[in-house]
Amino acid sequence: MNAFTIIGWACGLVTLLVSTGIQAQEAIPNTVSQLRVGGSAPGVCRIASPTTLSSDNAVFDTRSVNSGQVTITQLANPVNGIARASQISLSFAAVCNVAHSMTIRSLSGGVTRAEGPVAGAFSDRIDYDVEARWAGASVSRRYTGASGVLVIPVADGAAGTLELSLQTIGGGSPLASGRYFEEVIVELAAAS
Amino acid sequence: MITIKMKKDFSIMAPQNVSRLLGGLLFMMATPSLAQTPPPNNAVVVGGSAPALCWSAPGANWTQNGTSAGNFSAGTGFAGGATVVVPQNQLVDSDKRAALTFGSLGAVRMRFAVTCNSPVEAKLSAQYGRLQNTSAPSLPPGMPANRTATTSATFENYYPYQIEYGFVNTLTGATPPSASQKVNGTTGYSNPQNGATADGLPPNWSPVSSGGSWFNIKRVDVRIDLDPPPVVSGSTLRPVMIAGSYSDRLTLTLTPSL
Repeated sequence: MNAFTIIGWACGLVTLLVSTGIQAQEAIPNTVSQLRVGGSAPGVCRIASPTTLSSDNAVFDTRSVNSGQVTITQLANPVNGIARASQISLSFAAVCNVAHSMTIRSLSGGVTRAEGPVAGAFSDRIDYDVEARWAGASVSRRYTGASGVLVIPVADGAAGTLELSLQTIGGGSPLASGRYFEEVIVELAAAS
Repeated sequence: MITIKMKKDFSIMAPQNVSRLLGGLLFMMATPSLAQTPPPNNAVVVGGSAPALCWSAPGANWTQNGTSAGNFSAGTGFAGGATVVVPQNQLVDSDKRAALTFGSLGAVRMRFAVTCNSPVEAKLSAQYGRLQNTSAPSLPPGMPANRTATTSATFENYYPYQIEYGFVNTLTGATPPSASQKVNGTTGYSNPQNGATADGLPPNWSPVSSGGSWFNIKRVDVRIDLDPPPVVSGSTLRPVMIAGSYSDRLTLTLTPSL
């Protein structure tokens, strides 16, 4: 191998290295770093505290963010103890962004004497009617002692006003003296 | 230079990025847990109070309970009360001495039907606690009472009585054991006051309870036994009753006992 041959190989190697090096530096712009921004919007429902649309012999008071109390002003006729009728309509601002169901639950099935049942000629419960309107549908029922639920299934999201009407029934046997309570729960549940 | 810049940026931004990432992670982790919490609801408590009441049927009045001494007449309604007038010839004889002897006149019986939606107490109170001669509330001078003298010419200006009252269940006809109480004078007729207190003040009779858990329609019964005026011990002479009107006013009060 003469000197010219060695120089020629060296030059060729340098050329190869240089060309290789150039090719490696040119590959950097093709390495793309992607930042993906995203998230999920969960299916949620919200109910605000209600306002009174109309009332007769009943008054509504907000007790907390998600509870309130309807006080029947004159539960019994002061002359003969017989239950007096009352009525109240409440309006809840509500929204659901997904298919959902609206449920009305009665815990006692009647406005019931807190001190317990009584036997004999006196009554310890006041029956009442419930009617609920939501998303263009309505349900109603009279509670006469048995608890139960009312359901409006909604196939899509909805926003607007949920109306709840409660009407206690007057008449019947005289009421035993005491405190009378019922708890009605309005629930919006997003479909799973 | 590029690499160094990236490291520098990364090192500077890292805390914020991590923070944001954690916040994002927390938010993202919170979202599924939100779906597991109870769905939003609004509880409405409906309630009120039924006060303790007593009432009577429209037009109800005090009524005479069986045979009653004297002439019975009733006022209108509960507050109207009732009046019993004992004929004069039953109260005094021709000598104007007290005509009554033990049991001779019998009892005055009256009742009133009420409905109470709670346990109640009935309490009778009296203006005098005896049939008082309202025309002569005090003995005139010179007319010694048999309460203080032993002469033959003794005078008196009142008739004592005993009283009994309580509740009767008109639906079952049963009388609760604790709901009937004989008030005052249950041991006999030896007590000259026999209704009124020793100084002539109105009595304070004990209330009668309808029973703590007794819900029903009830009837208030009142029974009054007129007694002869007291006779001084050892004497058989009855006092001369001073002329006038003898009466007493009874008031029945029903009070919830809850």
